[in-house]
Amino acid sequence: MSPRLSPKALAAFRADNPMCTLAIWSDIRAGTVLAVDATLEVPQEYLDAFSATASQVLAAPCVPHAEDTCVLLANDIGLQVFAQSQALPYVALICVTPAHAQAGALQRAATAFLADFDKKQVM
Amino acid sequence: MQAFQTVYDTLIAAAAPGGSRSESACFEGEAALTRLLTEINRTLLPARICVEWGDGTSTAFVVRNRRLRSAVSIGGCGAPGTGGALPPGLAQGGLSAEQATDFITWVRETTTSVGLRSITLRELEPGDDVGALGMSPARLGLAAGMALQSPPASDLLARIDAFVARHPTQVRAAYLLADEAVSCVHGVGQEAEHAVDILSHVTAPETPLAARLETEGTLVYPGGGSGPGGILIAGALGFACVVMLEDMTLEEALNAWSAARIAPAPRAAP
Repeated sequence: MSPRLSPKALAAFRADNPMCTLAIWSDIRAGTVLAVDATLEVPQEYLDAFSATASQVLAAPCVPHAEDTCVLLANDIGLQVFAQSQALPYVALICVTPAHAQAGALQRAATAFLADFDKKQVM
Repeated sequence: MQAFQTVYDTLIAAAAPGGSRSESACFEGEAALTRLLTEINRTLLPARICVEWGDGTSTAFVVRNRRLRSAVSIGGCGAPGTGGALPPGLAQGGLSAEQATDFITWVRETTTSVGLRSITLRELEPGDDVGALGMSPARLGLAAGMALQSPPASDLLARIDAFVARHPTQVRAAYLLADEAVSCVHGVGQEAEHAVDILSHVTAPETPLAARLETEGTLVYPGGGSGPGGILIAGALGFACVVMLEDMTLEEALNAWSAARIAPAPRAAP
């Protein structure tokens, strides 16, 4: 597994974005969790549910083709960001924050994080 | 708010199996029919709605996600013409919309002849068929010639209207999914096919996204290309909508949709 797809990388992302209480790398082909970093310990079934949701969200017919994608979901759980890079189309970054978090800032942070990932992949 | 109340009622009822939802009075005719259909209309979690008829016989109606899936005669199964005896066409497993008229006719005859004594919500039994397509409350209401209240649809529609009123130039079109039919409620229907595809995907039965949208979730997708724009998908109990947006960032769309929430009607003074 790439060092970027690790809990350490997610911890660094969360350190830069303290509103993010849970960050997950998910394999959206299989709907499985690759790595997690969270403020609190999260039961595996919750992580699996987030991963399954990411798979469905990013497989929707309204996801732009051939573009990096960032989708926002707000519900009673809070605000969730599902981000996907064309450099690694089968992996999604999932960020969970409280409902009052600034969605735009988190969206930009997730996009930049994946763009940085793209550069390192190329290098 | 009423959608939340329905979920709350259902969860409370499911948490206390055996809880009775009716008074001791015996309901007859249209009142009994209305009571049964209303109960189906408000039951979200898988459950048996057990009806005790006036002659002491009983029938269990298997309901999930506000749809009547199947019916089973239980204790005290009576002879034809009594409450407990289901007509052959309805007693053979899963139900579908084509049987709505037969079902209503049977319930109407039963409630007219023997009445309805009580309705009790119980847990499913092994073998209960909840996988059948079933009948929606709207279809049953149509067969019965009565209109059931569907407050979540009007809430979601009112919210779309409020959203459009505040951002008239940024909403290209809006589509509402209600009772398995998609209708264009704002703008022109050029993107209807795309909207149907999207709604089919996000509301597919037994998927995590459908469950999250059902509890008033909101999903915002980028529109593609470099400019701002996107697609907002929102859900409420049993309903969903797609709003095609222009010149609005995802955060702006989320905030604008949140601001368009309809305030609950003030309670009448006691």
